[in-house]
Amino acid sequence: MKEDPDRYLVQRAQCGDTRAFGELVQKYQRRIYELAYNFTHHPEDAYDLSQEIFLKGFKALNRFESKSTFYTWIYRIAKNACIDYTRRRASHKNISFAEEFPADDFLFPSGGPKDVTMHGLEQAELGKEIRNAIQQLSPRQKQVFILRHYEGLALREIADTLNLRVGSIKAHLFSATRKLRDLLAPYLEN
Amino acid sequence: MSPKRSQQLELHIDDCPHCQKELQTFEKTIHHASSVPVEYPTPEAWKAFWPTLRVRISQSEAFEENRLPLWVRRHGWKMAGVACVLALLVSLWGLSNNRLFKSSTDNPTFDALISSSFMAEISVDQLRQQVNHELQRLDVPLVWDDRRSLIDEIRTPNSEASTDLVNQWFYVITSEIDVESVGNEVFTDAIPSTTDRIDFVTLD
Repeated sequence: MKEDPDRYLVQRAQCGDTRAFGELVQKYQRRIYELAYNFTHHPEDAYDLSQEIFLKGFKALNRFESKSTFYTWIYRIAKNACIDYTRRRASHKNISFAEEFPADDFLFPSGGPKDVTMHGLEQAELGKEIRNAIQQLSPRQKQVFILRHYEGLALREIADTLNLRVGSIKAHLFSATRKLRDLLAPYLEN
Repeated sequence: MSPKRSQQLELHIDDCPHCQKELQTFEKTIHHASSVPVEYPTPEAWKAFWPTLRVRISQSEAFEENRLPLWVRRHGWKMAGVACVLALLVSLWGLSNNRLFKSSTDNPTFDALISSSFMAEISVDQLRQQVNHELQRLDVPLVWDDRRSLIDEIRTPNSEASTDLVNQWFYVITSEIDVESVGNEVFTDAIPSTTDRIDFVTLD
């Protein structure tokens, strides 16, 4: 295993140094947020989910035994938290936290991307449609599609993460792609 | 998919316009669906990320728990379990030998204490405690000028200590003494000479 560049910070954090944990958070908050965003497609939800992930990480910090790097470890926590999120969302109506509580302009820019050219608007529209289409996938299809095409995980890794066989992953991936193709057909033809 | 099957599929796609279109649509779907730009919070929100989280952490139970030393957090329950088992075993051992109820005149001799230490039946710390207890019972002062006076002091009617035994005892205790903790009194040998001094106060 390669040397963990965060070993020293982790050791300090494990000894109760909250500032050291803060440094780790600031180092990885963007990457964890991006993972959370890929699953939520809502900035506010992604923000909250990222906070939840780091809080879980802090609570489990004494169980981290440096068998992997800190990032690999926190990424695993994040992945599981995101998978749980898709399960939780499936059991509720498709109302996000962000829709229940309007966005705070201080924290989140309202009105989407600021590119107001025709191309920018088209891209924004397409992005919105794609996000809606992905939200319509089943939780399992969504998990598989995101882990494969957003996170770039190998089929075997996805199978291990979700505790499924590789054959099942391929099947979910195929049905997810076909469903997306059908939902996005009008946009893809253009 | 086997290489042969894969080759057959590629050959088919080369000759089949329908499958070519299907494949292109799939590729396009994946390309578009996986390139949704991420919407980031405002810079102010990024800056507030850690302070907000820090507040949540300080309100969580884990915060107080993480202030304990790591080895306590990691092995606390195991150690408590082991301590309970050991306490139980010691109690049973004491009861089985009726040692817990023996009179003071039946206290273990230095010989027994040291031999049990050498036999690894008790730890050096336990030995120290028992030796100190024994010495207090014999009303021996806890500081000695030299080994000779120690031997003389220990030669009481209630003790079976001998010179050899005291040498052994010195060995057991001095081998555990942190040399720096006794200042200038550096031991040059595992068994100290008669001029060496030991301040037993440092042992407790």
